[in-house]
Amino acid sequence: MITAGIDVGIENIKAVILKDGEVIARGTVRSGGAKRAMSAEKVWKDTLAAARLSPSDVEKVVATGQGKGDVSFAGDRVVEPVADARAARFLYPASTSVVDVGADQVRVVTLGKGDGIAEVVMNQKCAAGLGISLKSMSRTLGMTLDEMSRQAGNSRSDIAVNDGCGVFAEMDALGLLSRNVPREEVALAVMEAVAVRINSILNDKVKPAKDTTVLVGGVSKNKAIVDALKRRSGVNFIIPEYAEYAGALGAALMAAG
Amino acid sequence: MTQDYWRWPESTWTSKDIDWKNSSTITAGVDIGSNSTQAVVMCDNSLFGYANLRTGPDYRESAGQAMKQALGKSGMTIRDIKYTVATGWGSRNVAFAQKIVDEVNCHARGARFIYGSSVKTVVDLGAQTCKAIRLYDWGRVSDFMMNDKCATGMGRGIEVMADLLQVPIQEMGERSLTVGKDPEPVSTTCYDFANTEAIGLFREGYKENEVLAAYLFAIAWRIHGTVGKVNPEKELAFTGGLAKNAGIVKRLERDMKMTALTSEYDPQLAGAIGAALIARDTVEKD
Amino acid sequence: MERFKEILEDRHEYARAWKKRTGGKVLGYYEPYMPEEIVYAAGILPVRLLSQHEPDDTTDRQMYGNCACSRDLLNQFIKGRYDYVDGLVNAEGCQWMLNAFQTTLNFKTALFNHYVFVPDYVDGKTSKDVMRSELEVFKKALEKWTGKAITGSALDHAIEVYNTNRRLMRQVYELRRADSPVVLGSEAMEMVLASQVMDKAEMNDMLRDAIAKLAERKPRSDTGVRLMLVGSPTSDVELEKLVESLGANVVIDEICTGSCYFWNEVIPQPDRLMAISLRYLGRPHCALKDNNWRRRPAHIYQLYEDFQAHGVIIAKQIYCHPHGTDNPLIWKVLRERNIPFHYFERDTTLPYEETRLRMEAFINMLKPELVLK
Repeated sequence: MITAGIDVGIENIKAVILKDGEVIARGTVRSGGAKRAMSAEKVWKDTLAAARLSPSDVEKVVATGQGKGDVSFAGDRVVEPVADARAARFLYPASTSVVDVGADQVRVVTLGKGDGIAEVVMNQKCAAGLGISLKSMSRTLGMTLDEMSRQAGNSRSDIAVNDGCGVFAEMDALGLLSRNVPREEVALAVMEAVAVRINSILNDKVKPAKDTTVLVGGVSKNKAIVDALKRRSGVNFIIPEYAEYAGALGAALMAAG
Repeated sequence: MTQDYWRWPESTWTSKDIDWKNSSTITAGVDIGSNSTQAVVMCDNSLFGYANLRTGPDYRESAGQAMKQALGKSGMTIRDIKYTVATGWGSRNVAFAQKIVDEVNCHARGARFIYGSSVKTVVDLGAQTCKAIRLYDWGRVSDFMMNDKCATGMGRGIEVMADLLQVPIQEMGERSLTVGKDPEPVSTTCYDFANTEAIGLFREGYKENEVLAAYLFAIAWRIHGTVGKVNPEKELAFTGGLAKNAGIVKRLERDMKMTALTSEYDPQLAGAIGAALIARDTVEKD
Repeated sequence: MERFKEILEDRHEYARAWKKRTGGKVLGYYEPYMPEEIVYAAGILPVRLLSQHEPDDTTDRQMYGNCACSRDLLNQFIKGRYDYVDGLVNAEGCQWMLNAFQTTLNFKTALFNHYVFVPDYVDGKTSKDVMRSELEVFKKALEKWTGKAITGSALDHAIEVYNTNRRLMRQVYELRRADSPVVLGSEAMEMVLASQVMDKAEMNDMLRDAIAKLAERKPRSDTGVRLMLVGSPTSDVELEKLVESLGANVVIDEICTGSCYFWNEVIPQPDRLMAISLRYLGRPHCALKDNNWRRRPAHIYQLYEDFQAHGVIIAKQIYCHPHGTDNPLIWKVLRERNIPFHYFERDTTLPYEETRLRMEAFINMLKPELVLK
């Protein structure tokens, strides 16, 4: 059976095509605001082409993500935590919780008995837009997100930025630049603050288990943040290879039943 | 085919008419903002050259680059400049400046040069901060207010928004004005809330231009809050990068029930022009 | 002078050392209306809980939307920085500190704790009687906790120690009034802040010594523009240091952790608890208690005149609700009297560049020599 999942985020749209429990194609494209419905069509077409399939070959398409309502060709829609949970269980059957850090939201999903979800904790409003503010920082620092993520080492305690709000953090980072702090160190401080904010959400209610927590979403690809988060939270996150496609994968799995 | 929608056009210009070798005093002003850097060279009381560039992560390099471009191919070098004043967020990084003056005074001075001495209220709409400045008739600053902490970075927020919507940043304002009646503004707390809320409007069936209108209305509303604290009086002038965004300026004028002065000068240059003029004052005083 | 700074910075170490030396108990408190004399008379060290900046990843759920000062106090308790504190007292003040007090007690259940009700209308007709009866209850609670009665002579002694401290601090502040002061704003503030985490008897000795040394100092000629600082409580002197680096000096403040802390004394009377009640109700109003009978605007104006300030900085802690509501009224009064001021919001961290920009512009505005044509 062939099914597909489309995850429409605020920043990117991700598509996954699944054949008998195997991912056969992935695709991603920028959402582009008003162009979101068109972008979804585009990534859908490209991903189908990559898998050498036509739309009629796919039995069912399920959409998830903030803009799931924009996917006209989806047969069904599923809320994000459910898709996350499904993907985590599929990838790591022993997992007990999944943390999704995307462009806009941070979600901590604690898995329950059977297929169920025990609890979902989301970021408070002031911690929204983590991924978005990272991207804005990367423009200011003149570094790609990839270059930022490769910065190694702990940030210096005397070089810190606000850890409560991404906008204040930007302001502090700009202040550091104007004092000639090397941009690599500024980048580390920014990413450390992001880790503090994510950890603060982890501390919210149920602390995720040490060895059975899956980390997904675009920000999970940032090694520097993940290292800082591991150090702060003491959780050894399991990060799947295509972590940013977890939502789409979960949706595709839901489509398969 | 990745287009940088958030990138605003940089500009440089050097006069071909002024014979700088015959001018008596040459001064310069450099305004290193958190997002843009301007360098201005003035011969006596006229603008000789300027550059308006994006600030890079190395502020010293940005300052040097802007100055180099402002001088252009005129043959003038930094050594020909009698006095340079630096201002702005990164003012400490201009190695060739003799003095640092705050941006409030520089923008006030620059606005009076650009828009004339009838200016009583200057609103500087920068990338990181918004400043409302009141002036005495004779030009001194009598009062100023800056944005609340949560309203920080509105200009940067617009860049983020351009990137998210994939709409070129310099078209956002005009496009938002094509909407007949403004929709309700989105969150006016901070740019991050405003951005996500604006994107969310698509789910409610808003068209792109309506989203832009609701978004820029919120930004203008937030700025209006800051401006209101200094009891603005005529004549009003806008400076800074966002002064080029008609979507913000028109809405601010509407909310303030005032019309701002216009000029052929680039309003983003106000700080650097003010700095160059203050440099001139300093030379004359000595 | 350095010693005050050291104690302020290593305040946890100071309190731990005090405990070890005396074997006494330490009581942490949140609000300036806490009657310290009674605590001191019971042989307990009252320590004002001051925020510091440490990455906060613990208080999001309980205290989201509160000011960073109050959140940081909870954060510090969770992280064990205040593990030497044996009890907590909150004298009714702002809602945020009350939240910090209550949430801390939610998981530090073993701590002694007491809540002192302080009327919001501090000048109301019945307020002094209400306050006195609250102090009575508080005194009994302390006696029960320590198992020892608080004697009249112990109270008299505590009142004397505290009044002495207030007088000495006033002397330091008087030195700031001079045209060329011998003491900088940041130094004076460090003293006041240190006094709130120290044993007052020890503090008094240090103060006497410091005042004698200050008398020998050469008056400074470089302090430039004279500023007054008004606003939310602070626990560091970053802002004072910043304006000093820009050719200005804070000559007087009207903040809870500054001059308001020591400004008035206990006027002794046979009913000691009543004397203490009247002192706390009569202290310079906190923004929250300045209702109906407004004293803050006049007090600010008087300090501004007495200390010959050129302008006022109003620094509000972000999300500080008492100052958020009171500030517009203060602006109005300052404008009516043509007093230049600059208002801004700060967080636990002071965004250096942004604040520098504000301060530089404000100081330049007050400097007559920067004439713009």
